[in-house]
Amino acid sequence: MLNIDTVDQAIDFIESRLHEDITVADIAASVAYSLYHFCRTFSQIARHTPYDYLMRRRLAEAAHDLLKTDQKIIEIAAEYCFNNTETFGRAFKRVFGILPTQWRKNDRLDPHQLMPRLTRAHLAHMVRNASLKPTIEDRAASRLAGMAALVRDDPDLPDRLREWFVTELELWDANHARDVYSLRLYPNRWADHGYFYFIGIEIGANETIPATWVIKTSPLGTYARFTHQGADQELPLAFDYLYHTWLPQSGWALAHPWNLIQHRPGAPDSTAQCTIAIPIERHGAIHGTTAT
Amino acid sequence: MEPTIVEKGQIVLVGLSFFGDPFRLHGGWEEENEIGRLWLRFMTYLQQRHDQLPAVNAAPAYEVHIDHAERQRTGEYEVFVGIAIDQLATAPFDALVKFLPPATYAVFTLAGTQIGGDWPQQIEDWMSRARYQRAYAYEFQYYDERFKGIDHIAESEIDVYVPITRLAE
Repeated sequence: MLNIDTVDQAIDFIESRLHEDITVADIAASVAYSLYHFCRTFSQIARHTPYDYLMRRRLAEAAHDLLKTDQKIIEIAAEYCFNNTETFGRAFKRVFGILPTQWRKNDRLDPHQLMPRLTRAHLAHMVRNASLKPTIEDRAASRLAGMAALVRDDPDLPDRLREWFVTELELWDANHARDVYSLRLYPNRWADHGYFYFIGIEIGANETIPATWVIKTSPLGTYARFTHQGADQELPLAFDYLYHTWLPQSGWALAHPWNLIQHRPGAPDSTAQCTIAIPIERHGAIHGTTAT
Repeated sequence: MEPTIVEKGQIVLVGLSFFGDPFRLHGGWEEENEIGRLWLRFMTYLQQRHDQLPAVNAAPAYEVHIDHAERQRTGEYEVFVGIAIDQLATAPFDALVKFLPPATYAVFTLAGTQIGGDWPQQIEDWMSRARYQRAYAYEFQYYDERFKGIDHIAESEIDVYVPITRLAE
């Protein structure tokens, strides 16, 4: 029953018709499935209903166009098959929490909010990690020491910094067996200006560290913790699942724009297991703590 | 997949229903779907109403899928699960009642792995081959003693009833 090719083909059909007034029945017919069987298969693999996927993708593209074009809101709404600005506004607010006018005024493009097209790699990743079920846990504040950099036009910089840090770590503590943590912090407008990457270890209050390192505190709070089984190269697929599939369906919201990965020492990359934690809060909560 | 054609009078069902896409996710990871949850809710309900309704598994059960205008656009529809009753007066206040009209039905028997397959498409194919159309916008699955439970699909059989009428020549 798990037919990735069929769902991938259906996604091709959807993506090439985001501007056309298609129905879920049209999508099912495009892959020669009955409506019933199609909805079932699509949801099992893509973890969105076909209609939810279609709407989220239209809204993601419309949100992008709001910031990157001068088109009127009514024109963008019509282009993505919303009958009027009220229907568009309601759907937009449901996904992004604010109205299109406010979104345009804020002018803050955060790719974590815009659901990307699901590729075959995304589908295969979800099928393989069928038990991508998080643990919700309260985590105490922890003190991390390590190295940090701004990642802007150099996507390989985190890998290089990690290698560099591990070398430094061995010099500092040859017999270390500590978990290594990487943090990604996303300031406003990070899509234009870059994000901060930090790699480090947890340290005690009285430990001294090399002068080239910095200290970062990961604050106490509630976290969703996921186990990622696979290569580091697949982490972007895991994050797409967390931000665009799990989070909107979970009843939780992102508390702060950063995430934490905990790497086990010595695990080979291809089969490595790491845990990903994202800070979450109930919808409507008031922010109390921030990463420092 | 060839059906048998049967005539049925009005069927009165008492049960519970769900509207939406039953395969939408809960929390993004749970395997269960809304149809399974509806069945569980209905089974629990039958136990609570054992003084007014037949006991669980004592009577055949019906899973009715009812199309609404939105279904083609969004994939959302109504699923109703229930059992047949003779006297409307026996329906408890907190249950729903469905009247299925007298109809000619094409009855397809699904066995084992067929149950999880794309049989709705095969039914559509058969209807267009045999020059029938749907008489009403619903169909139902009929579960009797031949259904051995969700964990024993391989040894199970169910019937799918589709109300039909001849296509005009």
